[in-house]
Amino acid sequence: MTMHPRERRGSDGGSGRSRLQHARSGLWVPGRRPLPFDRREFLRRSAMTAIALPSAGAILAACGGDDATSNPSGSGSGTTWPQIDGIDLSRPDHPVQLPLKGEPIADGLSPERGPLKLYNYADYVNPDLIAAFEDEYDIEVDYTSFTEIDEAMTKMTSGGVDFDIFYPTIDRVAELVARELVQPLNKSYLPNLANVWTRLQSPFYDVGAQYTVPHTIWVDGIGWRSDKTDKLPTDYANPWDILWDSANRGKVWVLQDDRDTLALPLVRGGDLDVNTEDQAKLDSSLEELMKLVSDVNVKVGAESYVKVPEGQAPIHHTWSGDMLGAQSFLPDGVDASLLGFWHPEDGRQIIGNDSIAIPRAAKNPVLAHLWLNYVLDVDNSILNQTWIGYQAPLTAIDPDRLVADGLVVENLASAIVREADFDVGVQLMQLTPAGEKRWDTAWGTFNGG
Amino acid sequence: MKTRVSLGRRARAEWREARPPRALWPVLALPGVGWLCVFFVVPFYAVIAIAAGGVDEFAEPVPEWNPLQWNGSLILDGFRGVLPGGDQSNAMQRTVQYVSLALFACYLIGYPVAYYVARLGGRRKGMLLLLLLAPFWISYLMRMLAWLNLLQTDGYVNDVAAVLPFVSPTNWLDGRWYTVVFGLVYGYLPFFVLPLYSALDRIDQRLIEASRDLGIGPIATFRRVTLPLSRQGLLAAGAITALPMFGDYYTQDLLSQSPSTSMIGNQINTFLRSGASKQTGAALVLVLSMFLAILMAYYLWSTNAASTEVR
Repeated sequence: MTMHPRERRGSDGGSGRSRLQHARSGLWVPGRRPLPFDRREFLRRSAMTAIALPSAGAILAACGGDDATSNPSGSGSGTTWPQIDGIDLSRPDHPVQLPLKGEPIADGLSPERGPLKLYNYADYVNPDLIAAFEDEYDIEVDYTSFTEIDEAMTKMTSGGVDFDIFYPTIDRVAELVARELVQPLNKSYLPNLANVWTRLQSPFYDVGAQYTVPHTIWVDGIGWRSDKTDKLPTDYANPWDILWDSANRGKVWVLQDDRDTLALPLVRGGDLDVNTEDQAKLDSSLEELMKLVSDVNVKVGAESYVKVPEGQAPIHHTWSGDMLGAQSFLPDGVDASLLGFWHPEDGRQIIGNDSIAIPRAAKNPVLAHLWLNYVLDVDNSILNQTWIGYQAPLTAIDPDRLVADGLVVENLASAIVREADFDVGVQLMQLTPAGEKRWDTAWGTFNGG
Repeated sequence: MKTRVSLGRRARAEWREARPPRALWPVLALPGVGWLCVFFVVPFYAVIAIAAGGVDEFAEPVPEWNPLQWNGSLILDGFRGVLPGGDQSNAMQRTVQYVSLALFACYLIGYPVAYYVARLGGRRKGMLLLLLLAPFWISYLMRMLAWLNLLQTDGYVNDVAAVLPFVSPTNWLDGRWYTVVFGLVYGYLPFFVLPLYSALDRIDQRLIEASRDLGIGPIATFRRVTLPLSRQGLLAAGAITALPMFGDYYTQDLLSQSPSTSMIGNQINTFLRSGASKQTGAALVLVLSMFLAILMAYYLWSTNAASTEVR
């Protein structure tokens, strides 16, 4: 079971429309606090930043190496690369050009009249951004949300849906192509793809960006509320040990995500082979996780962006984007300075990005292309970030300015992801069916206590 | 004599003419049978077909509809898994313990309530019944979410606990088994009380009066008359409550979220939501169904025996 940071955003009943309507009408949205500046001000600051500073990330990327490699089988370099339905499993050191199935739409077509149907995680697009798109193209956007990628994949494969836009995790892109559920993109509609980090303009999981454009980025780490815990990760020689410290019994949460959490003991021990299918490694990870059950009565959650600021989860293994989003969920009287996030300073960690694709069954493929281009616009990406917390991988957005611009409080600066982090970090990628089964089985055993 | 025989024949003939045609009875059963087929038999067969089927190249289950082609190894693994030493034995053992405790609490709380409403409610019986039904107006989810707030460390429960001598403020939501059991009791108590009330309300008052007239005291009358006559109601209430409790997963999800309190329903949920282990989840559904079928068989046997005793 592969899950995604947005899965813990919770569901609003399967549709995001009501929430969107609230936002458009200017009504207060429960749980959301406005950021401490308005959109116009933020765009102004960001535009200045974009002009003033070149992309440090791109420079670092050019300088950095790539030791974040991982053999899919975890057993050294084999003679046959593992595949899924004839498509190689992609890895940073093994980029995969997906087979072209179907034809992209022709150039220069007029957009359809909509409504544009989005299928995405709950709360993963700023309602203001949607409203602006609706105004610009005089159409309606219908936002349907899902809570986990497996649920979404089941619906997508059922054949009974005609979404125009789908937000898959990158480990499912090959499967979507193999099943002929997505259509190739026509880049003539996507000039804003040039705004994306160079490496993600042609990512290793979809060389040439034939089917997807990138969405957001994050790293795995530990979030906390400092007034609810006696110790911080930095008090330990190995900061991950805070999760295993019996002194924190009852305070520790881990992610409700088999891949991130089962990989946690590996990363803690310095092993970045997080896409391993080696049973011995999984057994070892499981053994360590079971110690969390016995020693700290660990809890498994998917809402760290709510539970940490509210104090229910004092120490939470989580994603950086959730902690950035947590600024919007602080209860009255709780200051954002109480929030903290740690991730490995050396960058040897789990890191990731999300993607957007156009389903083959889309009834508004031209409009869908326009949406993709719209969200890759710098100003629009920033607008999106002000609401969802997660960063967009655009060269014009300087992560070093996010604190100065007031988007991120200083004590959460460590939750900001930089392009250079991708040089060292590892991504959770597609496993073989047999491997996925092993992960699922271990995850089930852990959940059974 | 001849006349009487003649009248009898005529009466029988009239009754034959008046009664509905024989074919009507199966027709009346059709909606129920159809409902069961569409919403129980077919889905249940699909669960078996998935558990005993295969997977495609993406590890998604491919149901095998032909029983001759079924592969029962995963189902057998499911049964082995819940036995001592198996992967799911902790969750299964915990489920039995939690449900037993919750059921015991339901009996302790629910019986006096149902007894009071049915036997002593008097003119207020309707209002009391209405109050019993009131929780059904609010969804189970909402009621549990309300407790989530009440049980927080700075919630009202701890405010009360702070002034009571025998309890102290606690982090109730800290993955504690008794919070989960409490949630089960709270959530399912109305389901327990209603059938029990119905059974107690049907007890013939004259039997109790006869017992008292024969000089038996109130406690002995309760023990020797009321309690035996409420046995079927107790069994029905227990069955109606226990069956959904065994499959419950949301109570644990909301009030604990710790693997140390996971129930078998949580495990089924985990596997069915997974990418490659939906078959394991389906197998666990079958294991739980078999377990509950045994309990149901006992319930049916008990109620049948009780009916026989009454006759």
